[in-house]
Amino acid sequence: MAKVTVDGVEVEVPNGASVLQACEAAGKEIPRFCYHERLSVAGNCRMCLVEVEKAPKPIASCSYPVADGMKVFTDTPMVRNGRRGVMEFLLINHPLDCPICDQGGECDLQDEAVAYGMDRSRFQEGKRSIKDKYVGPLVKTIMNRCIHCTRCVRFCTEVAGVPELGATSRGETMEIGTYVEKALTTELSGNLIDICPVGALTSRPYAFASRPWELRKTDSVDVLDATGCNIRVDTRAGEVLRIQPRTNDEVNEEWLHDRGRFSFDGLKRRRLDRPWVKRDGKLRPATWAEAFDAIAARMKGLPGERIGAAVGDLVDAEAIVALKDLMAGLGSHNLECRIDGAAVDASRPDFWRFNTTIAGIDEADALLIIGSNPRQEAPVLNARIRRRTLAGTFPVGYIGPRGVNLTYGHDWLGEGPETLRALLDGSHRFSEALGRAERPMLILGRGALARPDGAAVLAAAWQVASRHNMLRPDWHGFNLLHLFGGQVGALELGFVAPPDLAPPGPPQALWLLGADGFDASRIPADTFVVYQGHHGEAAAARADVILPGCAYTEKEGTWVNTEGRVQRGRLAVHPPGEAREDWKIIRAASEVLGARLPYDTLAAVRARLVEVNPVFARPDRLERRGCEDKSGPAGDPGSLSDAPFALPISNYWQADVVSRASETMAECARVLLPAVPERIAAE
Amino acid sequence: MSFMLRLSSALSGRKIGTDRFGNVYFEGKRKLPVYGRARRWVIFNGPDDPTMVPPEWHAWLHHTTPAPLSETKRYAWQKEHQPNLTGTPAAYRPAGHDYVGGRQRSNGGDYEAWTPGS
Repeated sequence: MAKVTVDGVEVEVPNGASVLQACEAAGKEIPRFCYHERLSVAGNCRMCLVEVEKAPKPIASCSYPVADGMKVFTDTPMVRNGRRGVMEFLLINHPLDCPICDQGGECDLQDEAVAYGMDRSRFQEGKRSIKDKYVGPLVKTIMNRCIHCTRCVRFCTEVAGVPELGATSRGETMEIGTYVEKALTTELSGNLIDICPVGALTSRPYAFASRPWELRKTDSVDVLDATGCNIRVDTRAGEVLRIQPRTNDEVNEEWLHDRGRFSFDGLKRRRLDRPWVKRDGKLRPATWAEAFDAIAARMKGLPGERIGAAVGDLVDAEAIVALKDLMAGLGSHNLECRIDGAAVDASRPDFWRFNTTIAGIDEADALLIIGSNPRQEAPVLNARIRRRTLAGTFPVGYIGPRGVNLTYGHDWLGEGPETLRALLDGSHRFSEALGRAERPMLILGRGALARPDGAAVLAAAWQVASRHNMLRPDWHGFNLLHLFGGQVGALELGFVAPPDLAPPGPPQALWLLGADGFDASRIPADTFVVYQGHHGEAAAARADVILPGCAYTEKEGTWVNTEGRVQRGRLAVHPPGEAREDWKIIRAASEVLGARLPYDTLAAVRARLVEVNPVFARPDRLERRGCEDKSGPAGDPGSLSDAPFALPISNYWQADVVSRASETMAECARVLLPAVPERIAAE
Repeated sequence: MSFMLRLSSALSGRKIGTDRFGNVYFEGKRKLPVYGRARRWVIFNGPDDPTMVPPEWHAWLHHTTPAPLSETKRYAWQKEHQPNLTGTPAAYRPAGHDYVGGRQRSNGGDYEAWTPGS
């Protein structure tokens, strides 16, 4: 530790820390453009000048290591003059287009110019002008505004792992860009907009939409992947205008994946905004009373075992517990939350959670990925794995389709279960790497379980974990990576049929709660289907009664991420038309079905959640768990087939019902999905 | 067009032309010493409303072009000039405005609802 005095305040910082960090520890704010906590230090903006005793010149504090006994001054005439000079140089080539700049109001340069800017220009010559670059459908560039901090270059290279941005030329003619014009191929490109300190990289869908001070900001949680990124929903006049990440070091740090950030325009298309009832074979608009009458007429009096219910991928825990209680009231046990067919074992939380936790990836020292492409299934989590690979020795083994680019070096072990078998008996070369590791971990993709021998894959993966010392009281290395934000919540609430209770035939009535992925062709023609959800897709078209619910930005909801972390989403905008909160719809339906649910308020539903599973009592907190019970899930590894693992998400941009309705995401898919390779004419 | 205005225009300037709306354009006989160019003005056909001037004559009137532009329509996309109608019964009003029936779209128009078959 080094003792440093900053403006008379003595602080102790670790050796090797920068002067800037010491100043922050002393509570002094240092202006900076190029320095970013989560990126490497570049030291090229020179805005963070401070004075150090006995140093002849002001020093750039971000790239200057502390020394014991150092005396730092952050507010002397020399420092202020230096910063003013730097600001003047930066503004030489910066256009004065703040009134039309989307960064206006949240621009670092604007803020610092208030403190260190001159009120007039001494620069008579012409300003530099740079052609704008096309870097994809999400990020808009206005390269004249660039101050060459290179944060975007470092983000792409270090965090996103796609070294596609760079600087060409030098000095006055330096330009940031992709060397050959192309769209950035990262799922984290939206973060470039956040880290850009000026308006050079701005959001294309949000261009000229609003000013930050006009927006109402609501803290919420992203449900479009299972990471459970913390987000802030910015709205104006009942309309979501943008979604930005919130810092949570244990989950998403300060990043957000593009689908979570940009697919919100899907919340305005293909919405279910009124109840529909099928009459004479055709869906017709109806009132809520008519819809409930139709449900009562067809479902009341049906034997419980002939009623089924399925929940989809994005549903909040309140609605799930209400539906579960309603089904229990009707005497039905036919519940299903794994509509993708994944053979998740719902008997113990260990089997479905990401037990190592996302923050735990930093501590792991070997990783085996089975049947999953975390880059597409959980891009923010993948960025953490990538950071771990950069931090030191971290062998990554990968079982899945060949040629997948995970953004970090990995050892491709094989395509299918035969590699799993080899790992099971320890004959595989990667067994040795796992054996050497002290805290090895394994990520099993949910997609690897959505196949006929899914239970066997799960059991085999558990045994691989057990064999390679991943299951210990002090370290749990078995992880299941889910795909969407509502999947774990349904498992935590036990929304599955008891394994020994097979239904006595096809259901006569089926309640689909946000189950847009439910295969409508599997439903018998005479089954009465109630679809409750927020977007219309194939399953809604098959329904006999449609009840309009809320999307994740429109209700107070609880979601559980893949780790089992309980998080609350909050109401940012009101639902369209006559749509209502999902648990209230189920509560109202329970009245007409004669199985009245005992709760009328959100607080009462949440109390019921805690009753069903105590984890819901502690939102936002997650204890690290070791593995107490090494006995594995049901399933026989011997019955593994030889079919190679297929990845569940082939189109990252349109993987869920919200993003499939989004025009921005459709454009991304059009630009970024690998097209069928064209044959070259000379061939 | 008052008699005095016509008289003073005829004395101090010369008539350049008349546009398709009947507005008459004049140019002064001598150059203004400050600007080094002659004054240009218009006598409106009807109440004084500067937005009555079509773009071809607007350019001439503001000394953008030395001579008035041709008034013949050249492109298919060109629209006929229209004076500012604000404050008149013909003013633009968005759909759902009280003066144009007052019937708003049921969903407010800010989202697109799903219908079966879509």
